[in-house]
Amino acid sequence: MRRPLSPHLQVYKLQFTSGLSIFHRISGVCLIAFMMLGFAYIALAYFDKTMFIRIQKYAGGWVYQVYWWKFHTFFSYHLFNGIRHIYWDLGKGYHIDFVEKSANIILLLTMISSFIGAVYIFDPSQWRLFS
Amino acid sequence: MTLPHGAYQWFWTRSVGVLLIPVGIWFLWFLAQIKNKDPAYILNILQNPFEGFMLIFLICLFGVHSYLGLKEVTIDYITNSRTQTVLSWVWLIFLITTSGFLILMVGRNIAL
Repeated sequence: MRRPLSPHLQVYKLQFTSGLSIFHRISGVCLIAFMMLGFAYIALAYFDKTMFIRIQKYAGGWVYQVYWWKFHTFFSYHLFNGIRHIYWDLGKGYHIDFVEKSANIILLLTMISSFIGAVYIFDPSQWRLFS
Repeated sequence: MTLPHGAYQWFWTRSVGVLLIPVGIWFLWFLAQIKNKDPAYILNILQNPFEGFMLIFLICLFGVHSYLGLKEVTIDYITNSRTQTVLSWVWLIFLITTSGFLILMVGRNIAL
């Protein structure tokens, strides 16, 4: 049996909540790329210490910071929505009221987390605009 | 516990996902610690057994969770069963080699 594991999009009217569900999957796939880059970056600390520092300062340092910020945002979203998915897997929270309210809460939590991440990660003193 | 055929994917994605919640939060905290630090400082932190093993644990859990996730996405969007099988193997080999390499490296750093 090779049936799809999730409903197919061609026969499904897109709603706000299903958009979040799709983004859970997109963020998951993106996180694999982010994680691989992050691991490769940590691996550089073992092999090429000069390159490690050069990447921190690449393009004035903002590429490095935007990368960590996006990683942080996608991670937060996937984490919060993952908790919501586990709650459904336990057989609870199928009422449409809960689905919509929790969707809003997750978006809000992600935005708050993203904001805190931005405040922490972005460091204009590291930026070098003309180098 | 015996699971019916087809439930393994579902069960393991969720179980590893639950374990990834605390470990993933630790990883974000760890990244905050190594922000703008030089490589020697990071290697020094990773020599602590706790930090080193947490990173190894994270890599293992991440490997399993992302393999299962990628496999699910592959099965959903690719209809050709032969391509599904080939891609699943590609994900598996890719994740095992990269995770294995990283685990060896972090492990070696703890042992040294």
